[in-house]
This record gives sequence, structure tokens and C-alpha cells, in this order.
Amino acid sequence: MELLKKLCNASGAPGDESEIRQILTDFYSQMGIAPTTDHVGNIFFVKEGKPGKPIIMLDAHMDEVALQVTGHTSEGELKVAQLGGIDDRVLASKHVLVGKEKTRGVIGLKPIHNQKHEEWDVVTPTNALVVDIGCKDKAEAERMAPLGTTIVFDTEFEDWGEVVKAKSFDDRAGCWAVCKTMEMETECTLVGSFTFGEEIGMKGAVFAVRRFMPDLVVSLEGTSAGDMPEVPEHQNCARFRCGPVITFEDRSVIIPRNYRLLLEDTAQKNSIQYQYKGTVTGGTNAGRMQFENGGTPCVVIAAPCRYIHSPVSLAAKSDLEAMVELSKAFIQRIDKEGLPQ
Amino acid sequence: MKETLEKFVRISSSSCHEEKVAELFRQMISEAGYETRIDRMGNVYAEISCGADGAKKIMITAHSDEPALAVQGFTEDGFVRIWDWSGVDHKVLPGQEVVIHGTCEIPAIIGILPPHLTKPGDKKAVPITKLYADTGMPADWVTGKVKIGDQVTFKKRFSELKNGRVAGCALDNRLSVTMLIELAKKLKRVKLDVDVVLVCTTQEEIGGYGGFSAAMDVKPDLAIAVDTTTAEQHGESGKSYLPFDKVCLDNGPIINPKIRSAFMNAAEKLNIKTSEYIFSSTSMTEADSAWEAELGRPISVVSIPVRYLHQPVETVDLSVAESGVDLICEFLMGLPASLEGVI
Amino acid sequence: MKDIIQKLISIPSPSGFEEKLREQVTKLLEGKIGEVDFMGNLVVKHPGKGPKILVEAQMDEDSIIVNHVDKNGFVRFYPSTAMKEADILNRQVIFPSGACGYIGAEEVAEGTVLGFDKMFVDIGAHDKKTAMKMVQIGDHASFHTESRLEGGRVIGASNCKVPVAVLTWLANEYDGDANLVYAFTAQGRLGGRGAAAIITRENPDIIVTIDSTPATDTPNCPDKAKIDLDAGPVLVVKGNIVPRDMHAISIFEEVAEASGIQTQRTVKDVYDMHDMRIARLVSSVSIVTIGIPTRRFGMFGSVSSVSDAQAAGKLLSKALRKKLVK
Repeated sequence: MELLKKLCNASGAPGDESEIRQILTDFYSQMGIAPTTDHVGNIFFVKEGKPGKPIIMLDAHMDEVALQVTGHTSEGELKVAQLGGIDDRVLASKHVLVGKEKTRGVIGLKPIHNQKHEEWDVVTPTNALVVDIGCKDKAEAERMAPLGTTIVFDTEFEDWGEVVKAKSFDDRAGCWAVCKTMEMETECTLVGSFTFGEEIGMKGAVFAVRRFMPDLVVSLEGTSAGDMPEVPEHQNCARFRCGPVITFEDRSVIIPRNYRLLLEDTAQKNSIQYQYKGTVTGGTNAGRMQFENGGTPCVVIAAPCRYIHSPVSLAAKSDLEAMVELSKAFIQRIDKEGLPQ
Repeated sequence: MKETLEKFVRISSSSCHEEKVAELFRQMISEAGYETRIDRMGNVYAEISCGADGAKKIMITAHSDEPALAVQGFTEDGFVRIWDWSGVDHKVLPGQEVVIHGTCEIPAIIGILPPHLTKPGDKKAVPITKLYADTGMPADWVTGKVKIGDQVTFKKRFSELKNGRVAGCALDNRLSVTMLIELAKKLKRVKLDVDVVLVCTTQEEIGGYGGFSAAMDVKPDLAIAVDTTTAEQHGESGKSYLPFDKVCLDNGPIINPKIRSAFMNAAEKLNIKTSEYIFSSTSMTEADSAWEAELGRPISVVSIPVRYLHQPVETVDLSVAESGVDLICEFLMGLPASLEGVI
Repeated sequence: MKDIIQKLISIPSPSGFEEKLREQVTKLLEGKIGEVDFMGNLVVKHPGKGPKILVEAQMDEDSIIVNHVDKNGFVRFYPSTAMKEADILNRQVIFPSGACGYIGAEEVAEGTVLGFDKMFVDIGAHDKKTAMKMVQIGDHASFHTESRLEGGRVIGASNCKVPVAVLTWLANEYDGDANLVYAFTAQGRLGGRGAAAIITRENPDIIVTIDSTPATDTPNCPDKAKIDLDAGPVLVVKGNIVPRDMHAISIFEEVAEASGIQTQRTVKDVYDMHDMRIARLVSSVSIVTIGIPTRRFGMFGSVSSVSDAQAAGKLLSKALRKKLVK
């Protein structure tokens, strides 16, 4: 969990993932694997297998939802826009970290004392919110946080025993799982692919697949658990603490059925509790990768996390560990039996 | 002052559950060299005697409770239903970290429906009836540790911003409690002609009950409430918002004008910038309780402007709070033994 | 051509579950061996000289995606493409297992928008267990229609069937020496996904797509771009996004005139997502679209003409011998 803690506490706004790259480079250097980088900001770690064995790409994205400075007020606050999808309602009254220096700041609302009754239920949109870092005037704010500075939530990773809490399980949980999966022994070539800019439109995925031409992509990610009260059963994405989530289809990809069935069968044979992603929503890097190199089959394994895309989310250790176990078992199986026909 | 404030801010203390702040307050006052006592309401008194028999008594209060939530029930899956206990804006709750005070302190978060279930453009706030505290644990674990009515407080944050400003939870009113500590330290070094009673009071956010009983107990000749008030912030200004960089002296029908002018003189002497909040009936602080309890004793209110009041990101300029302490000290030093000309 | 159409029109082929239609096409392809990839595409090669031409038709039709089966055996679903709730309410759907069901809705207040989350399919199951024998999570179900071929008209078949028939006929009849790749693509309605994978694999020099184009000869049709049934295949000059290759279009028109085939042109095609995906992936490849005029009725059915399909087949068979790439 130490690696997950480091990954989650680091700042990685889309296009600004250098901290994550450093943590990954440090981790893989212990395994004796040097990084491969490209011009857009993806980073890859290749664990060579035997020639002739399949090349399997383990995919996760490094970025998280964030804010970006778009202006400065005369009183010295920062105007912001979203990078990736954030519900306006979760931004109210949060602590944030601004820029590489991690300057502390807060997003405040009008105090309840002075709200009129009709304002009680009105949500302030992002473009009307400001980040207050304590600057006295515009000039100081411009100096401290120039336009384009990225802002992430100030949330500490905490280990609650069976559950962990942090800000960015989407997709640091995936990054963690890729790292852990690659510790396995296999004759397949494994490519750990950590892409940039997924939250702003799957920006990095294409380059990864074109470069390494894998036979199969296993996308690992943190997905949204939907087992909250008020959510009807059939709208429930995934249940927390009920094992890794296997996608059959989302808005970007239909997972090839023979691969999906092989994955399920692997889970059953290894007695790993799994579940389907119960809704056909969202999209992942797989949506972009499936077309490349004449079509690259992708499967998606995800850990159900509660409240992703918000300042604070929860993940269960059992789900995270089972996700790694399943991806290892799946690769083992392909190593032994080859790709499904 | 910052270190003391951080210590106070890190403690959770909802209305009726102020024991921990009381404990720290007693400890710090005794470090400053004074005796303390506590009453049945949980008010902590620090009496600073000038030594003269029958000296006039000045009571200075600061409340120790904060806006909080309470456990209202549980769902089958172990989500904790919450309800407002004392002045929380439900709009700030989604995505907030909280602590449930059950048999132990249980960390939890208040989530929001997953994005695929919220309609884009849905600009209405989630009502508190549809918000839950989530510990991530199953129902039997949760109900074994948490009972209905247990307190739920914000996870305590304390961030240092630029220019000596700090942001955190419960600056309303731990800031004023901290100011009392600083004042006690300062008073150790000066000679007064009056007795001063510093009171760390309880249950202000739910109606000022602690301040009421403190006034009955002390029977002061003059009462001053130290509190926080709404500061000017982005997009908000006007009568209800006070300048961020000035100490605010309240003015209204129940404020004694002579005390006010004595404060103004002290401010002028120390070159401290002040602003004025004018209210029409009551000050909405503990001073009201003191005034009511003791049949209209002279009262005054010193407020420090805080941005984003009652939210976990309350922000204050600490130099203003320091000026506030200096101002009260200067005011006390200028009081004659008879209080003549002041009341 | 008539025979091929007849054999294809009644086969359901929801997105991602095109195998029944694919198998039928494979049977109809006389002695030609095709490859099937993981996406469900069927690719048949006709090696020859010159630039590589990808001739493509999509095999899938609009569908709903099963995401949940409740304890009483009712099936919950998501729409696979943009569709309206009111259009599909009370419709019959058919699942890959062959099971049929009707789309119903929870009772909602009058005048409110239904929402797909308030709708379900009743397949007549007693409980979850029996339901799960007929339906799997992740299944796509298409809308069940009674299709028939009568009086030279194809009535009731979904939009994809006639273009697939034209491509099948072409693959059988074409005897020129151009380097052709016939692609029967999967997941076209989800945004040309199958085609996209083939393009990155085959790297064609030009793409010829066979598609259905909405006909506007129905009573008081508000659409000004006039497309009639029985007036020949449509050459799409520009869809709502992607402009087509004008050089190739002019060659098609020359060939049509020389062989007495009537054609129509349109610059407004409501359905462009398929081509958009392709164009985005390989921006340097030019595209030609041959449309079969089709009166479209929601998700379920359409009316088109056998004569247009025959004309399209003949036109393609002749034009694909010409130099389409400049």
C-alpha cells in the first residue's frame, strides 16, 4: 500500500503528470527496468519475455481530474476551469493544492448566514467559484499562479484498515495494479503503459499501442461503484467490496466476447469473486486502442471505487488485491494457452 | 498564535460536546499562570484578579463549539444517514471528509451519486436527506460502533495560505478562544484596576446557552463577546460583509455607546484599523445572552472577519486577530477601577 | 440480387452480435474464404493490381444492451445508439439466443420524459434464473420486424441489410483485376468501430462504403434534398461532416452514364458518424459512399427498392475497374 499511497498523494493533473512518472521510474528501477518515454508525456516500462510469446500491454492512465487557472480577480483570487469532468457540487468548500509548489488554497462559498432562502439549494458553477490562496492583489496572484497553473484537491491518503481513502483512485489504483501485476513471472512480454491525459479525452493511448503493437491490452482502472442508497439496482455500476469489475461494454468499446469469457473463466477457476460493470456508461483508453494496428483486442478490469471524480474516494483493499490477482492469472493463462481464437 | 490556533482547530467540538476544547483551554490557561474552574454547562472560567477588594468585573467570552452534523440513522448497506446539528450548509457536504464520534473516532466521507446517475446541468444542491456518511464498512460493523445521535464533525484541516492567512475548520470560534489565551498571557505582564474573567463558553451555535449561564454565574459589570463575523469575499460585499483586514466592533441598540467609544480610543492609540457592523435588534452573538441574562448589563462585541464562515475552509488574516488581542488588552488597561465614564 | 436480399432480410444482427448475419453471408459467398477478426468483421480479399480499394458495408443494426436482470426476470437495458424512448416503447425485441420480449415502462406521471432507466423488457420469464437462460448480461437485442420482399420492394428490413446484400452480390460477381478488399463490418452503428480496425490493418488507398441513404419521397417530407426510391443509387457528395472524394464520384457518374444507370446525388446525409470515425483515423484516405435510397422508419424498419440495389451492384462492378485514385 506504500506505493499506492505515494501515487495517490502525488499531483497529476492532465498534461502535468511528472510527479507520477518519477514515482513509477523509482518503482521500476528496483526491478531493473528503465523507462521509455515519448514526446507527449506517456511513460512505458517493458519487461521482455520470450520471442514468439504474446506481447501484453498493461494500461493505466496517470492523470486525475483537476482544475486549471484561467484568470485572476482584482482581489487576488484565482478563477478556474475544470480539467476532466467534476460535478460542480463537490467543489464547494474544499482545500486544494496549486501548481508544482503545492501552494495551499481554498474554495469557499457564500456563508450560510447571508444566504437568502431561495439560495439554499442553488449550486455555484465552477466559473463562478474562485480559489483563494491568500494573495493580496491581482499582481501577486499572477506571480504565484500564472494562467494555466493546475490545481488538484488537497486530500491525504489514509489507510482505514480494510478500506483506503484518497483523492485519485481513478486511475492511480490502475497504475498501482499495473506495477503489482508486472512483478509476476511470465514468458509473455509485458509492457506497462502509463498514459497521460485520459480525463481530457484519452489523449495518450493511441501512441502507446502504435509504438509497441501489443497482441492484447489489459486496461486496469478504478471505476465508479454505484451501490449507494437512492441508486436503483439496475443502475448500479458495481458493488463495493464485491471483487474486480469486468466490463462487457461501455460507451467506447464492446469487449471481444471470447476474451471476456476467458477472463471470467480465469476468475472462476482461481476462485476470484468478480462482477460485471452493470451500466453501459463511460469510456476508457480501450475505446481508442481497439482500432490501432488493424484492431487490438482490449479487456478492462477495474476496482470498484466509491465517489471517483470527487475530492475524496474510497477503495477496498480486497478489491484492489483481487484486481491484481485476476490480471496475473489472466496473463498466466494466456502464457500457457495462447490468445483465444 | 498560529501554533495555539492550530492546536485548538485540530480538536472536534460540536455543541454540547465541548469537553476536549475545555480541557485544552484549562491546560493552556494554567500554563499561562491562572486558576480555572468549570461549571455544569461546561463553561471554563479563568479569573484574573487585580487584587483589590470589590473590584469591578469584566467578563470576556468566546464560544468553543462549532457547526457539526449528527447521525440520524443507517441504511441496510451501512451508510450513515446524517442531519444538521448546528448550522452546517448542506451544499458544502458532497466530497467532504468527516469524523463520526462513535465508540471511537471513525473516519468517513460524504459522497455524491456517481456521475453517470447525475443529469448534466442538474444545478440543484443535493438535499441532506439524500446525503450519507460512508465509512466503507458493512452495516453490522458500523451499527456496532455508531449510535443514532452520535456527532459527525468535519475532518480537521489547517492550511497556511500566503500573507499570514490561514484556512481551516472551526475558526468560528476557536480563533476567539485562541485570542483569550493570548490575552491571558498578555495580561500577566500588565497591571489592571479591574477583575477580568475569561470564559470559554459552550452551546453558542444552538442558541447561546453557555453564554447565558456564564453571565448568571459571573454577574459582570461589563461583558465583552469575542467572535467571528462574515468577511468580504469574492463576489460578496455590502452591509453584511466586513472588511477582511480590520477588527470589527459591532454597533446596535443593545451595545453600550460609551464602551464603544472607549474601544475606538484604544484603537486610535494603537493605530489599529477598525470597522463597524451595525445591527438592528440583536448582535447574533453570545453578548445577547449576557445582556438578556443580566438584565441589560453593558455589553460589547469584538469580531474578527472570517471568509467562508461555517465552512471547512474558513479563512482569516491572523494579523487582524493579533490586533484584536492588543485592542482588548489596551481597552482593559484604560479602564478605571470605578468604570466611571465607561458605563 | 433478389435471392441474396431474400436470404438476409430476416436475420437479426444487433451491434456486436452480428454472427448470424455473418454466417449467412459466408454461405452466400460462392467459394470465397473470408477472415473473421476479434471484432466480428468479415474480410474477403480479391487480390489484383493497382491501389488497394476497401469496399465496405456495415452488418449491424440498432439495438439495446442488457445490463441487468432483476429477481422477477425483468430485463433492464441501455440504448446502443441515440434513440427516443417513445419510439421503442411497446416494441418487440429479439435477443441473440432467439428469445423475444416486449419493451415496457414503469408507470410515470403524465407528461414527464420517460428515461431509459424507467424502461424494461419483459421476456416472459418466471424469475431471474429462467431469464438468465434466455438472456445474458452484455447481450444486444435488436428490434424484431417482419421483413418481406414484394413487388420489387424490400419492406421491413433494417437499414443495413440491403447494403450487405449489394456487397455480397458484388463479391460474387466482380471479375475485374483491381486490388479489392471486401469488408462486412461489425459495430458500425456504434461509430464505425469495425471498419476502423480494418482500415488500420489493411491501409487502403480509397474506401468505398455501401450504405443506406434516407429517401425523401414520402408524403410532405420536410427534407428538401430529394432522394427517390427506384431512381438509382445515391452518390453522397458530403455528409453532415465529411466531404467525399470528388474525383471518384465523377468516375462513378461517368460509368453510370455510359452504361445507362440512373444515379442521384445528395449533400445531406443525416448519418455520418460511421464515416467520421474512419476519416478521423486515416485522414489521408479518400472516401466514396454509394447510398441505397431507403425510407427509414425509426429503428425498426425501412422500405427500399430491389432495382436500386441492382443498379448499385452493377455500377460498382463496372466502376471498380476504373482508376478511382488520382
